[in-house]
Amino acid sequence: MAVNWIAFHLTDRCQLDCQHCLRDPGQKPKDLSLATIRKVLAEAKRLYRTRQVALTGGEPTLHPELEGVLDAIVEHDFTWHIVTNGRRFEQLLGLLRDGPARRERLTAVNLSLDGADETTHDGIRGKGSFRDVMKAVTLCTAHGLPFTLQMVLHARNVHQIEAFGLMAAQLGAARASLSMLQTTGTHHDEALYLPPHAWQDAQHRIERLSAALTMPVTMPEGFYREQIFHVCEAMKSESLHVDVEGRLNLCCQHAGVPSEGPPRDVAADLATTSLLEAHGRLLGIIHETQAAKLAAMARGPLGAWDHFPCNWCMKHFDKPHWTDEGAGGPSAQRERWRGAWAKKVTLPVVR
Amino acid sequence: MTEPRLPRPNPQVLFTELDDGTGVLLHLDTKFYFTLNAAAVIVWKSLAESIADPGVIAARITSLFRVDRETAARDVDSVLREMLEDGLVLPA
Ligand code: SF4
Ligand code: SF4
Repeated sequence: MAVNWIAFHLTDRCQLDCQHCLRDPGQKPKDLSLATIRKVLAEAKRLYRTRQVALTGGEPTLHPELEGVLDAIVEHDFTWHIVTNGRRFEQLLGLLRDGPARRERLTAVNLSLDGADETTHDGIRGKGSFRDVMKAVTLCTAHGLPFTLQMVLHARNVHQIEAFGLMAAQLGAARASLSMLQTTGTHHDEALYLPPHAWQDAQHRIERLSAALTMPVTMPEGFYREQIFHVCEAMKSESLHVDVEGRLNLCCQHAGVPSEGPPRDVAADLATTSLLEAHGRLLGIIHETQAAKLAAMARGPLGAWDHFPCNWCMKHFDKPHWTDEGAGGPSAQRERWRGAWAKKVTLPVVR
Repeated sequence: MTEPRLPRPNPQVLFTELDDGTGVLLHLDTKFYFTLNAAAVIVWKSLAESIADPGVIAARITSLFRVDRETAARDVDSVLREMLEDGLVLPA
C-alpha cells in the first residue's frame, strides 16, 4: 500500500453541460490555487515519494494557471495524466509543444466520450462535443500521445458498451474505461437510472468485452461487489484527492456533491494544514466509514444497492444515492440554464 | 461549356490540420485514419470551399510548391481518385 497518485480537482469551470455532471454550474466557478498545488506536490514527494498526478475538473484545461500547474509537476518530478472533454485540446498541445519536459511526463490523456456515435454522445454532452473528442483523438494519434477513452454509463448509453469498446480499439486507444453513473441529485436522475440487476448485466458485458479485446478495458470503482466489505483505492490511501477548494477529501466522487448537513468527507484545508496532518484526519474518516459498514452488515439485512460500494458510501455520507425507487438523498441545486432538456431555466451564469 | 464538378467532402470525415502543413482525416464510420501530405491538404481544403475546377486546385499547388502545372494536375487527379475509393469524398 502506497500513495500512488494525487488527484487535483483543478477547476469547476466547464464549457459543457453534461446531463450526468456532478458539478454545480449555478455556482461561481472556483479554481484550485497554484500555491496549494505546489505545497501538496512538495509534501507528497517528500512524504510518500508519490510519482503520479491526475488533473481533473470541471474541465482542467480551463484553469487560468494551467501552464504553472504543469511546470510545478515537472519541477517536483511527477508524471501526470489529465481528464478532459477535448474541447481545448489544441491549447493543451500548445503547452506541451512549448515545454518538452511537460510532454515527456504526460502518461495519458483521458478523453470523456459518452457514446459510440455522435447522436448518443452529443445528446448527453451537447452538440459538437463528439467531434471535439474525435479531433483530440486524431491529434493524440498524430503526436504519439497515449489516450484513454472513458465513458460514464447510464440508461441512455448502456446499450453501446460493446460498440464503445470496439471503437476505442479501432481508434488506437491505450485503454477503454467504463464507469457507473453516480446520482447527480438533479431531475436527470430519473431518465438516467438503471436498477441493480441492469448494472450487473452491464458489468458482465464489460468483463466479456475485456476478454475479447487486446486493449485493456477497465471499470473504475462503483460496480457490484459480492463481498460487501470492500476497501477501495481511496480508502487504502492509494490515491489522495484534493478538491477545488484545496481540501483533502475522501475521493473525486464526493467532491462538490451536495450533502445533508456539513460535509463529513472533508479532512482539512491543505492551504493551512500539512498534508501529513490532513492525511491523518482522513484516515479517521475512513476508519469511521469502514466501522459503520461493519455495523450495518452486522445489523443486516442489506439490500442489492449496498453491494455497490460507492452507492453505499454516498448514502453513508448523506449524499445523493440510488435506491430501488430511483434517486434518494439531497437534491442538487443545479438546474441547468442551457440545453433543451432543462425543465426549469434559472438566470444565466457567466463563465 | 459546363464547369467540371468535383467530389465533396464526406460529412462523416473529420479533417485535422497539423502544424507542419500536413493533415489527418478520420473516417467516423470506419475509424480509419488517413494522413495527408501538404498538397493533399490543399486539395481537401479546396473541396471544402466547394472549388469546382481541378485546375484551380492545381494552380494553388503550383503557387506553393516547386512543381509544374501538369504534375500538379496529375497529383490532384490521383488524390481525388484515392479519396473517392476510400469514401473520404462523395461523388459530385
Ligand atoms: S465535461 Fe465533465 S465537468 Fe464538464 S459538464 Fe461534462 S461531466 Fe461536467
Ligand atoms: S465513493 Fe467511497 S467507495 Fe467509492 S471510491 Fe469514493 S471513497 Fe471509495
